Amino acid sequence: MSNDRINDEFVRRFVRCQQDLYGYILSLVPNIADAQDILQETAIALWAKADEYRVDEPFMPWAARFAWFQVRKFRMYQARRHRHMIALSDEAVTALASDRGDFDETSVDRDVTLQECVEKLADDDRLLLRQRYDLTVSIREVAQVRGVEPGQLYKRLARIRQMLLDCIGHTPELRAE
Amino acid sequence: MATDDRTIAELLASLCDETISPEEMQRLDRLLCTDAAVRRQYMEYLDLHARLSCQFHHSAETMVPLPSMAVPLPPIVIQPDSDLSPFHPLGSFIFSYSLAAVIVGIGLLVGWACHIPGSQGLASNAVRPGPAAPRIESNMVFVGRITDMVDCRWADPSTEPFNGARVPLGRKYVLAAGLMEIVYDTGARVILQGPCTYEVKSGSSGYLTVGKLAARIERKGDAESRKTETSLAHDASKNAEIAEQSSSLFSVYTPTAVVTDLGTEFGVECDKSGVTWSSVFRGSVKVQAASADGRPQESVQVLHENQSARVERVGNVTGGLKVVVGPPVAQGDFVRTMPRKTVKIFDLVDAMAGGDGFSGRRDRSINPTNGQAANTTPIDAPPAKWLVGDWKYHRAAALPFVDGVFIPDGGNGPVQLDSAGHRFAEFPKTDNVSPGYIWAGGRVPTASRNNPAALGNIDYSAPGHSNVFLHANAGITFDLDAIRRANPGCKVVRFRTVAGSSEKDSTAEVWTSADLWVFVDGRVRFQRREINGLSGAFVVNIPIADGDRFLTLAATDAGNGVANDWILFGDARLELLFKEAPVGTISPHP
Repeated sequence: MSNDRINDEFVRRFVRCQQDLYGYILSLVPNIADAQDILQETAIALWAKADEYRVDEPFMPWAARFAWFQVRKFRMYQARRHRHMIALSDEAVTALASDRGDFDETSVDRDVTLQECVEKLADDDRLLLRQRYDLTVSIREVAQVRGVEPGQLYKRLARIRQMLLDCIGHTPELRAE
Repeated sequence: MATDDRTIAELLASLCDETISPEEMQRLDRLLCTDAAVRRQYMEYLDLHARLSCQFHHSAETMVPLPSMAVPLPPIVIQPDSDLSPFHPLGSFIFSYSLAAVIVGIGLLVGWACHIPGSQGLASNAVRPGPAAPRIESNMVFVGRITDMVDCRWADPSTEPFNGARVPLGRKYVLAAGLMEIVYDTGARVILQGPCTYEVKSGSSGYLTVGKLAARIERKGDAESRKTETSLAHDASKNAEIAEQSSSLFSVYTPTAVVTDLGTEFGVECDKSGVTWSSVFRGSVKVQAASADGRPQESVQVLHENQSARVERVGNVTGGLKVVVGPPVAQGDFVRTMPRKTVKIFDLVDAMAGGDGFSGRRDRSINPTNGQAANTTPIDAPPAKWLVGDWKYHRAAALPFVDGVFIPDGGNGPVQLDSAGHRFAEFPKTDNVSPGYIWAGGRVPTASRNNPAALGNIDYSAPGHSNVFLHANAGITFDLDAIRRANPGCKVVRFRTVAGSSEKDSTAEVWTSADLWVFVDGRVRFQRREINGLSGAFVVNIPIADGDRFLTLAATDAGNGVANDWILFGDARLELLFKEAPVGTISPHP
């Protein structure tokens, strides 16, 4: 395979697994902004090592190793710079990373299912999700505008997430997994 | 759900929303270490958290391009019928473009597809009641997907759909302006032209209350439909047969008519009084007068290519409805294809060096204390020659796309960031000096053994790359409106760069740090505080809205002196989106 084609294949695989990689990182570092930073670092590291990638090798496990390294690097940095920060222990994070050893190929299915479940939410619940995850406004600001306590919105977000989990769990194609 | 599960879910919710207390975190941590079932539950919950984050966050900020985005980029033409969607937005691109074009195209499309309103949605909620119990509407059936949106504005922003969303039965779209394309699962492609109100009635029909749409039917049975249409064209007596077939054909209902395709491309317009016009661009349609509830009336016409008809009341409002065949309607009255989009990359370094954003100029500098363009090198000046700030903003009169420059120092109060007077009050107190000019490179001249333009294994001084080198403390503001004016018809959609500290002398024992900032109209859009060469490179990817006027890049010394505070913005670029005019233009019906 020519270098160009290998590059194309590398990009194609990276692009395909990017969201899963982000999910993997976010499961180990639950802060969205931090996870995005780590994903960026991982992307840069992956690209630097692209020539070491063998196209007959599953991409996601290979990429996840880089992500895991970046997660550890980030946690070390955080531990050094922000000792007061609340974070999961190394033991817990290692156990989680170990459990996430297998990466399946059903990601797109899950996205479609989630999308359908989100569509089923009431407009205002969907709007609240947007406001939570858009990150351009804080929940505190949203609460201020709505004239409610932030705690009420956090509880409502928790209920919406639980409903989405229930909805995803009751979707036949996923239940069959 | 078991009580324990609920408790764990509450812990996970607090974790995701960053409201978790130290005690709760300890408890969760213990459970994760000891209980595999909790770890599974954790994974499911965090997986949902990640997917929601991708769906609702400005997704281009979530999904990063590979760093090779830095290579020179050709304009990209994005086909409107690309099957990208925000849920698998990155999975099905045609890889015939160059590698770089792929990456930028992906970013553009993801951003284009996933624009989520922030402040608009917030404002609209101001009049809403407090939080209600969330509910899931039952029996939702999806019959199509939104495949493109251009400049859409919505009568109620809280109902704004997103590009790629599935289209459920019964969903009403009240489009105040812009274009939205829906593709039904049956193959019918409908372009709604705002202002318009359209409801999805079934898998093969919709109700146009008011406004204008164009429909094109693409399905396997097209050949058969055309055959039917030809025979019917010469035999009006077969209208009954048409009606029978119509149940499986695509129909547009209005308050006064039913327009049914017979394998075709056509437009329908309905005004507030209920008068309906229909025009045929290809093939044939049947136009039948109908009451507001869709019951057909006697008057019916089959229209062929380039024919049009209107359905109007006979006599007063209680009179019947009649289909009147009229003269051909200019096809330009209907938008029949979504506009094609082309992206051009505006090189901010070229603009700093006096170019027009596309000429590849390099190796010029700007004095941050007076805004004058120069070719003075940016670093290695002795402290006695360092530039001292005067806490003022300075226009860069000689550079049309550079609004101005400044030396940021939060110790003297809010700092002006642009000529419109936006100020920022949260810069740290700095030394109020910069060792050198703001550099638009090219190679960054220095006596140091280290290359200030190298970041994340990429040398941004190499051919094909560029860099804005800001030695703290310095800031530069670009005039987005000036860029728009110089590129008529463009939409500035995104700012991209790879940024970070390029110093190489920090170790665990020797720690220098600086701050990196990106603002739009005085609001922080990206910041990294206390970073150094060990912090790595950050992909900055900021959507730009139509009303955004200024982009500001700044570096501060983190309050610990300017030594080694090399802040680099590699390949700093704006993406300009050019939309070709669609086929047809929106104009009032005669």
